[in-house]
Amino acid sequence: MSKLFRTIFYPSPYSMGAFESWLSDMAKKGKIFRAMDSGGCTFDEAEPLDLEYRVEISEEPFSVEKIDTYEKCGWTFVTRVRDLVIFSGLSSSNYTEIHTDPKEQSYTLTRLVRKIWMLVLYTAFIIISGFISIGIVINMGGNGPYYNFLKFGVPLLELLGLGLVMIYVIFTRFIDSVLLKRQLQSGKPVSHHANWKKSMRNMYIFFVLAIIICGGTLTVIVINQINGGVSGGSITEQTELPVPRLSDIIDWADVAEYDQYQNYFKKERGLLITKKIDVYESASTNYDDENALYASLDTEYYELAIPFLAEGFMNDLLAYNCSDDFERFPDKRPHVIPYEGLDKVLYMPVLFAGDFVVAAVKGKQVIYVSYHGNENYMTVIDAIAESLK
Amino acid sequence: VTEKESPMTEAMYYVLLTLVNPNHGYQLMTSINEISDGRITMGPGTLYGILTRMQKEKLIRILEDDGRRKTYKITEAGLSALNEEHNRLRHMVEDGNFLRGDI
Repeated sequence: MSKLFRTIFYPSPYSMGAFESWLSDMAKKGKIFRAMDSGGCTFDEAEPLDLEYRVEISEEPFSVEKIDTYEKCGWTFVTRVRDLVIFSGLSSSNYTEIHTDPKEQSYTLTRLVRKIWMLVLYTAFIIISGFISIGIVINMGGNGPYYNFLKFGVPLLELLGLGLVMIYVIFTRFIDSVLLKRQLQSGKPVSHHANWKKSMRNMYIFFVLAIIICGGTLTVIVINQINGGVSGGSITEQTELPVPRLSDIIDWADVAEYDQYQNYFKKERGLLITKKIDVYESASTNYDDENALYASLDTEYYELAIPFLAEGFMNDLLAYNCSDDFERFPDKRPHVIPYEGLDKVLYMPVLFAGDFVVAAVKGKQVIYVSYHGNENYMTVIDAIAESLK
Repeated sequence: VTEKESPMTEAMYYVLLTLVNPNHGYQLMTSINEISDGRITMGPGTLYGILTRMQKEKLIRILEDDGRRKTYKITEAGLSALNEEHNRLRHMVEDGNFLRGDI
């Protein structure tokens, strides 16, 4: 049994001359073409041979009579892949060329070109409608574009990348077929010994692009997981978190002790949002006392991979967090608070006395704080500015 | 320009010409070579491409199909197209006679 050699890299068969020439060069190296499928080309390892290859386009099945006629002309049937039929013949034999009239050969490409064009349109339609559907579903949540992009951007970009690579591959086939048809129509025959290196280089580019898009994203996700992934727990021992702490804000000087009876944090890493930290803290003096003091701080902290999206993201985040209950926000629109040391600060009072939300941005850092308690919003902003240092 | 329209390709002309007498695959190639006095050697891809196309355009038809071999014959429409092309070529040759000083 002969040894098999398989490769996933091969010039496009739609660049007919380049593909034929590549197969001939492979045969000279002792790799005799046997079959081709979507996974690549298979060769038999044998003694080097001086073989010629021809790609024929035929929508109809190849009858016994037809194959017999080709054989009488010096051509042996090798394989058929959809509309492509591949023949080989010894270079030294007195073979009759399969196509002796370029213009007639161009007619064999007519339906193929139409088919590939339909495939280009169909693929583009599927990909575009897929994106529109995803966009509609995402926007049904009422989120802003920055929020959507940063939250769902990675899988969408990955899909878009793969979609574009697919369209490019099919479109290149289409261009190759159209150029070949034009060449034949002008009376110029296929160059059976064309340079295949350019076509092969395109194949490598597609492969590298696909690896970068799929493998790259996967690698970043794995690295993120190794570096922390999703972690969380009690906030009591956490002193390094870049968020304001309730103890930085409340000043219950007359209270000797208070209980932090509910607190937690959750950390996540990602590609576009490189770090996300959710923190919730609440505290109270003696809860049974009717004059008890109570305060809570609900914080979302984000670090973005693309800093210039930070301000847009903050606006969207505020809108997203406030949109569930407009009645709580009598002012409807946030107030911009000028503050040295922070790029932008937004403040929204809540209907309930003492409650408010603050959002701030500094460089690539975005923070959203929902506060309940007796302190002034400026105290919270001071604490935010201190924590973002 | 549709593939049916004149002028027809040289290969098409010779296939039609040969099919005035019913013929099949490889034999057809040999006949074309003989009719053209060895000037034309038609490749099997070209031949079968033309046969498929002309069949669709009803210029030829299958006279017999025994499962292994198909025998083709020219149709009335094919004969008419062949005559038309022959006349066109004859006129072209006549027009070119002035090169030899005949006109």
